[in-house]
Amino acid sequence: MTTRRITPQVKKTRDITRLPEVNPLLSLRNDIDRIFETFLRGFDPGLPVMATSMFHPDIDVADSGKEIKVTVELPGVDEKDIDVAVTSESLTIRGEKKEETIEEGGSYHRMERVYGFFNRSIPLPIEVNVDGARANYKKGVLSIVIPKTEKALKEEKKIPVKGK
Amino acid sequence: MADKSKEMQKKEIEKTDLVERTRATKIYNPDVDIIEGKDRIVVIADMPGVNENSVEVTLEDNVLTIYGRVDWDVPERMKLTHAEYGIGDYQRIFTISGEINREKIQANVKDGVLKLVMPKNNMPKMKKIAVKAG
Repeated sequence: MTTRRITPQVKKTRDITRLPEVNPLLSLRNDIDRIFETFLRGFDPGLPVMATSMFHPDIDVADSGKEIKVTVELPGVDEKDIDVAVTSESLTIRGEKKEETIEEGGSYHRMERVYGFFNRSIPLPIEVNVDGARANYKKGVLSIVIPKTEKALKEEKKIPVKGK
Repeated sequence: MADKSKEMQKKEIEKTDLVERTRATKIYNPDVDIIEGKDRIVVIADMPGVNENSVEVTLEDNVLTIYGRVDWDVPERMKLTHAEYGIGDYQRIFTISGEINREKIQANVKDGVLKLVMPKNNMPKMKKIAVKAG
């Protein structure tokens, strides 16, 4: 979890020869933040760590035995702006929630809704039939149904639990 | 990696002393944007899972209530294996000021987003009152 760094502006002093005052604790904190940022960037080079416009849609996953159903809450996203990709190992949902300009020159009293790009990827623990996957967007909820392969169904084995 | 505040975490309403409810579901507080323009105020609420038939907007005195019903759509035979968002209804209550023209409030639902357009009354222009010495 990275937090947005809020660095107070260093007060300009009239005496040019004097060095700006730096809070030693703050500079230590900045150093640590920088180390973490470079560290995290190593995991995912494509993802800007400081992205402020990123949001994290919530995902539910349900299992019917034969199919996996993934639902994502994406209110107000145009279906053309949603990109769903499924591989045999993972499901990736990405896109953008665009901010619509409703009032030219209007002022915001509240801004709780989140806009921006999203990118979520979930691993699929079972072999799936990629070609049979289908996605549907309705009422601000995206649902994706992915059938499991016959092989995966066959491999699922019930282990009886015995008492003494 | 997003800010905690940027995550679309639904907030459940805690106080339930409003009315006795007949539906045994959770109620969430939808995220809203309120934008004021020159001649209207627009309220936009994110309510994934609702459509025009399941949203109620009521205005009683100064109290504007939006309520969205969400039906559980996970079929019986399906088992939820991973849940990040809860399924429940939405409710949010606003107090509106007298400058709103109540007769002309419009509500519109698209892609799980409720948009309320509330035109303002044509308020008389500010009038200066001359102060006389007397």
